[in-house]
Amino acid sequence: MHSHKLITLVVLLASLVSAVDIGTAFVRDFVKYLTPGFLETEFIASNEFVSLEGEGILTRRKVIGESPEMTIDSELVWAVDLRQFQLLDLLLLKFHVATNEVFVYGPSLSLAVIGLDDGSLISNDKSIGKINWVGSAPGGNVYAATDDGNLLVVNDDGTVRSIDLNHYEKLDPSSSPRFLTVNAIDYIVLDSGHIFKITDSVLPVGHVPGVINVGKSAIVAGNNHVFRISTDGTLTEISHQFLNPTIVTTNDIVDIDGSKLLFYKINDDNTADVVYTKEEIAPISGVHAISNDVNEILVVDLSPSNLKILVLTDYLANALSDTIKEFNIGSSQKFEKSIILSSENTVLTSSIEDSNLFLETINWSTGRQELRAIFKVTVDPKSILIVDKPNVATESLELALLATESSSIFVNWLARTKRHLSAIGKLATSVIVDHRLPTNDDSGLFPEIDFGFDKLVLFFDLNSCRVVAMNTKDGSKEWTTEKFCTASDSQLLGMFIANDDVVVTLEQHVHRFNLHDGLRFGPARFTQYGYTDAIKLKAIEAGRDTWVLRNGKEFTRYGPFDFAGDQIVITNEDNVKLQAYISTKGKFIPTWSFGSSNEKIIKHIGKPEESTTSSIGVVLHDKSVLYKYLYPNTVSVITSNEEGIITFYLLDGVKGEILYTFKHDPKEVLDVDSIEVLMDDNWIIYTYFVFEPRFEQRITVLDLFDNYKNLGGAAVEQVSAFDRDLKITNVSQQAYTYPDRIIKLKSTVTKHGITLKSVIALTENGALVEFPKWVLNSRRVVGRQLTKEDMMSDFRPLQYEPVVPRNTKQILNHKFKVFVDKNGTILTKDTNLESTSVVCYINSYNMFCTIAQPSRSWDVLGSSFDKNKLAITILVLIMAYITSTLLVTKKSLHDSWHDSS
Amino acid sequence: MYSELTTPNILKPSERTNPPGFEGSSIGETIKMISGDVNVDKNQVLELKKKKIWEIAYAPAKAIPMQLIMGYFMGNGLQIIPIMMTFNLLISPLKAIFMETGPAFAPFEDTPGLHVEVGTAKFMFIVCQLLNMSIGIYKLYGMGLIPHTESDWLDWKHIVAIKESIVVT
Repeated sequence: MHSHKLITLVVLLASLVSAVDIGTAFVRDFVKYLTPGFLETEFIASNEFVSLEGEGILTRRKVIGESPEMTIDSELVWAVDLRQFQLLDLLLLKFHVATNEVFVYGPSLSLAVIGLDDGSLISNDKSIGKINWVGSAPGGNVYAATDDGNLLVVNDDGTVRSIDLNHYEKLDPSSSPRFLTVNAIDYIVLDSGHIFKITDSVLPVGHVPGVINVGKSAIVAGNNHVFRISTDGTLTEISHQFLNPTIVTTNDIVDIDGSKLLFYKINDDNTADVVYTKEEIAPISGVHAISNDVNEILVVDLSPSNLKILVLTDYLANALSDTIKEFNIGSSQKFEKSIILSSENTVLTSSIEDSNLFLETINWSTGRQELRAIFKVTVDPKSILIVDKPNVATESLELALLATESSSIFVNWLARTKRHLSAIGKLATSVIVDHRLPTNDDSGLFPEIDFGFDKLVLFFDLNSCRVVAMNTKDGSKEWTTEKFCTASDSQLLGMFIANDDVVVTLEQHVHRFNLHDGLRFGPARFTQYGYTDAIKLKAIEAGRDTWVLRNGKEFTRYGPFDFAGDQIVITNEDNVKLQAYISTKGKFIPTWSFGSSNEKIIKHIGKPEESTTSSIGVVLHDKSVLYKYLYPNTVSVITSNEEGIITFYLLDGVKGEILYTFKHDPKEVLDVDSIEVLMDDNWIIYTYFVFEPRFEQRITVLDLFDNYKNLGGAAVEQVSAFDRDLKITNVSQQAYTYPDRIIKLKSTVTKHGITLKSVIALTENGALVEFPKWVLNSRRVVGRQLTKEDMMSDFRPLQYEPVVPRNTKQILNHKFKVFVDKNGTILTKDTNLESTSVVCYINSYNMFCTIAQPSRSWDVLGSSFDKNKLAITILVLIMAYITSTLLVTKKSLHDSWHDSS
Repeated sequence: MYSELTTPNILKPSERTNPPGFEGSSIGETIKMISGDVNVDKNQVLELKKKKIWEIAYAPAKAIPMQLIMGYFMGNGLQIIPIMMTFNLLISPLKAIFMETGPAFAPFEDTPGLHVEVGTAKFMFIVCQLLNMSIGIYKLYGMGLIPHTESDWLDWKHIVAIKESIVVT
């Protein structure tokens, strides 16, 4: 009995410890692929297709889910970024799906072969030359036509073999060659009417007068005569004059006569007889036969808006005309690839409208007809936000923790002790009274601690005109708002969170939604035309937000409160001038401006509001302090003059003074569009790509230092920037290069700013790289070995080395392929754990989230922490204490007797 | 010094020689003589007591060289053992000052003519203990555990809040 209790206690102690282990609290990282828009699709099954999407992404997707609201989802099987081939004309790419491979070709891409199963690149041979067309013969062989009229046989591994067709005739580059397969031998039918047999060499088979259509083993010639290739490879003509024939099978032909369909059977002597006539209600403009292993159908185009399907499977087997089933499939006008026949008696038509994919399925056994769609997602780059997920359960432990966290250390300690004691109390009650171990359901005892990793990423989807909220835990959709605009009035001025609501400002109306569920607050507010910016401001009521819309110098309040004074709005006027306006007495008046006529403003950013700093200085080896310049109202501006020389300016955003300036070397020729600026703490990092003197990604790091005289003082007092001299005492600056092109920058944010900072850079090849700030340090030692003093004067000082090496361990998305573009945004947000910052990247292609721990997980128990050993050690110590106490009591008693005797 | 050794009081054999083991009445006399002799040398006892007092007063100083050597070899690394030893170096002199100063000199307190001596000795005892403690303080300083520059209270220094704020569009 005792041993049983002992084991129980050990297990309980272990489970108490486990309450603070967050090993399973967060899926560390995930990528959620979105749908950037379909350009071309080819179905390989009724629920699976290969498509070209966005700008140069080839994907294979599986249609999943059945939604009552027409919208369905898709699961990405694989995706290949065709941009890796450095193509200039991504939108002109085409592809062909064969049995096991996808062949991609285009004007600047020769021929790339991609495995259909896994999306692996099998070959990309540029020496093949420009390919105009790739297609399969019915027998399965893949052929390609080059720009100069050559025919190539393409093997599975991407190698090609040229067929000497030029001896007879060149292919017409504007049309697609047509193939027949008879007895496993392919025949090519040229538009001119020449037919060649393709074996190791090319042999002419015959000639028909022009070609309209090809099907099975027969050819519809220009004069509406039908020719057949017999099994021995000879060409014979069917002795019947058709009007507009379509070949259904080798022995069945359907002809159109106005609104009548004539079904012919071909006899062995090459004559044809009408076996059945079907009258339609409208003139037939075209007929298309489709077959698979099981079924044979006829798609009848009655008019531009009515498409009919006739299922001929049974009719072809038993020649009974009443076994033909017919269905209307509505408005789809697309014939060719878009209709596919699946084995489950289902016809699927797909069409792409405005990059959205619409699927219509009709099952002729059940009569079930469905219209479904996969809509593209177009993330408006101006709208992307990351916010804490609003917590409804106010009694959660997290909130209880937060409530006490703000008080003094002693109060915190008391609260913690009380909480732990009550947990032990409950545990004891549970064991003694209920005679059982608490389970996970006893949430009061071992509550699920939410470390605040749960965030929402909000964006405005331009395509559907809705705001979408995605969870950063697993990428699931949290909510979407109703559709609140149309394509014509979806110009977004700004989107922000104000007073815990989502405010979306379009050019003509302002909307407000609930952050909890995306439901609308009140009707839309209509605005006048001509506003260019929506600006969130601090309201006169403490802690509240308000917003204004700006049209030139006019600021109109649309938010619920008046705005507070002493707020400076800095606007960019035509990239020539920065104009600042200061709020005073309920209006904005112009104050300073910055700019010159021969300098164009390339980038201008302010120090982010969420930037937190714990330590205000760096302790040097002699224990003196190098104070950080932490003035919050600084603005970084990068300008470019007519010669393309860039200059960096650091401005005081309040007074408009230039605090620091740095003009780049005139010999440096750079890509102005590649400039990215990042401000945080007391540093500024900007990156740019230079063409000359050599192709290079450069990173400039500036660390700003102060003497504490100007910015020092008690945190409670509020002083005006006008009363202080805000000159920077010391700026240290160093530049680095990185082997990959950087297209976006962001820094990690933690709750109190105690944890080190990391710079997250997104490279062109899709890697989110985490650079610790101590690597991108401007105070690295140049030209000498590090001394002991250097080591004591900074955190992890390094010797200056111009190249920041590529370190694969720093890539946050090493497990996932992330598709990048210039419109994407890196988002960072603090969590309740000081060590941890949530990092996301989102664009129209995908959303990737992970956590970054720049100082490692110093406030979290690692997975290697041996809880059981700890519990056992504590237990052994307690037992040793009890035993020794008993022994000591016994001994002292004994001694007392001994002494008195 | 040690007068009883340098000028021993030699007992002469009496005329009546008693057999060995017999203790006659002369014993009492002898004892009387001895104690009478000691009584006579009171100054010597006082000297002895003084010596003893100073011995006690300087005893803590004897530890100083050893503590210095130990401190030197311990280094300034922030390991738990050196830190504990250093704290011990701080606490034990303090304990000694408050707990041992009285008891150590208690036997001499009542001796007449030694009051001044005991007072100064106590003072010296405390000084020696403080010397010991100063080694501990120096060690703590060496370890960087004594806040003495602004870098040590950097966390309590702040940047002023600026009234104006900016919004960059």
